[in-house]
Amino acid sequence: MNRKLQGLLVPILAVFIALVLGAGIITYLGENPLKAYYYLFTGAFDGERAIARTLLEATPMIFTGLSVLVAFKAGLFNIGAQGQVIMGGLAAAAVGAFVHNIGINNVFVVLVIAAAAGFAWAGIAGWLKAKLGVHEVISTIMLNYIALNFEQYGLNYPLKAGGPMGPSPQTPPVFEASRLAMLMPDTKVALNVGFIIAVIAVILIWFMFEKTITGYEIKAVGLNPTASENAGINVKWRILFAMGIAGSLSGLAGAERILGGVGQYTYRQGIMGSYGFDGIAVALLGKNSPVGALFAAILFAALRTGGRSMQFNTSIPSQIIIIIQAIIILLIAAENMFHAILDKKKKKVSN
Amino acid sequence: MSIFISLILATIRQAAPILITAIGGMFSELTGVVNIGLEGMMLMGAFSAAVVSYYTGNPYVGILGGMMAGGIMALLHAILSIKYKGNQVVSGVAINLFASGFTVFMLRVLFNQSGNTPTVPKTATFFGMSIIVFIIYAIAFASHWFIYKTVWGLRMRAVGEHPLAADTVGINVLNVRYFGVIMSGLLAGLGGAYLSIGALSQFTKEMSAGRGFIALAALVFGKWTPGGVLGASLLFGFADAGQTLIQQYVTGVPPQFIQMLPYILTLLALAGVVGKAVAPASSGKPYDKSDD
Repeated sequence: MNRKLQGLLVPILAVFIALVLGAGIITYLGENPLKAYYYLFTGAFDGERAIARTLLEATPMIFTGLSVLVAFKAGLFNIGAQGQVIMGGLAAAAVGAFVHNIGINNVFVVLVIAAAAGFAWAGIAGWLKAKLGVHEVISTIMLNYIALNFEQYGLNYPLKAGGPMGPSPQTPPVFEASRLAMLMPDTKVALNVGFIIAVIAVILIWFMFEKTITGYEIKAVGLNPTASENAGINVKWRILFAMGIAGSLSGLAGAERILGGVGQYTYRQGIMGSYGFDGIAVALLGKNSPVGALFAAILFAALRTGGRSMQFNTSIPSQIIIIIQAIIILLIAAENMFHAILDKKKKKVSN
Repeated sequence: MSIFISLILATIRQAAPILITAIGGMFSELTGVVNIGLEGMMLMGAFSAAVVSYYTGNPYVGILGGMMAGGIMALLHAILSIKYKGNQVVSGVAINLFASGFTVFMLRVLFNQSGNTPTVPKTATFFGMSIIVFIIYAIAFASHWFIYKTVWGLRMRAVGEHPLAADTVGINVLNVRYFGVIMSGLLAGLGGAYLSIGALSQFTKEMSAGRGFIALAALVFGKWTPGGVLGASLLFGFADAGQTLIQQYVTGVPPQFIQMLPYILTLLALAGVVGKAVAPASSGKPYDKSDD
């Protein structure tokens, strides 16, 4: 079997093995895994509401998956998507809820500002890498924690709603003009235009890497920075640019959570979940392809929405989904193990 | 005066889990394996220490249980990154994710709780500090001796700096790396055990709360040396312990900015403002004899 086919097989095998291991745990706990997985599946896909919920959950993961992917292509590991999501979300909430009647208050401008905030935040890591050779894994982890504290500061002090919203740390809702339109209003699920924007982003990122010189140069830098430098590519600028684009994609993920009405259009604690870290899983499972990331995001979102219905209908806690997701990533980290096993099989067959 | 003393004691206490986890990270990174999974290993350690302490009624067995859990996670990381030459960062990220899912899952399964375990026996205290704190500092001081004065320490450093050269002189590179990574898990597990059965007497959801990442920061800030790591951990511990005091004297600074300090300092250290931080040369690279 050639490497390319094996490469496609690995994510499918990883998901399959993780589900089998999950079934083992479910059986061990005295439940029927088929019944549990039935609720998992119907909870994610059965009916308009379920589908709307799944796609709503997938939207930020598509953005953050693309974010991690763009950095990957440049040879960078963006652990900082979570921080970039937070900074994008805070920017969206700050402009969307506080800037009023000065002509810039519309959804497009707010999205651009959120993307710019993400660009700037990731740009710090990009700049440190390009200029000073600081490893982006450590710098983005640090930036995540700084962003997290900044979020707490923002929600407790300058952006705090207070008043009728009560003493909880959250922003006031964003104005009507800055809200993203709903896609399936009948379902009462907040699935919004952000999903369409995410799909457009998938196409644009695909186009950038397949059809433009910039995309080609980023890939070249990722594969071999020294050779790229010799070929006249401005490696430092490409690193900074790739990290910035990665940040702006994550920034859009944060903006969608606020402007899309997930939490009554306010930025409240915990609203950003772990979408930045999910992005890592999405990019890995999607084999670093934008379309792959789209499907991987929908899969992880389906596991999560379906997991809630499984917990409701069986005695299995929904956290089993996180365990399954972790096993998938572990198996992908062990990709070489699959290659070793598959190559051995091939040898046996040819003998 | 008494405020001063209690601040010093609080600093020593708060620094302890960061210190031991960072020392663990140092064992791993000195041999050339990056360990982003410290946070997860710590969390598993905290959970297992509480669970073992609950079922045996003996917190000292609990300490061993916590270390074992960290060690098992580390063994997984070692197999993936050393044997299968997988991406070390990916594996570490997966371990963190696994730990956060697994601990909450098991809380539900074992205790039918969503946030914490029942109260469990905790370790003995001296001067208001758990015995684990003393163990932690003893190990931290011993690690300096181990890394700079023993043959094993020399081998670890050789493997981290130049695995091929180490291999040439007959050092088993892979074994040394397994040792380094498993040590990191055992020590991170001990750091976790301190949180659940040293400082508190129960496990609470996500109780490591980023300390594994702070430990990573302490490792970088301390420039991969035991002395540096100790200094950095005490600094971070002070920032934690001294928050209320700092609030009193430095008015108008929101607490969040004080909490940001360790991370900002680490960025500055990395940027070379506080002196150049240099990681072991082979850190993060799998070793394959067939490479040249």
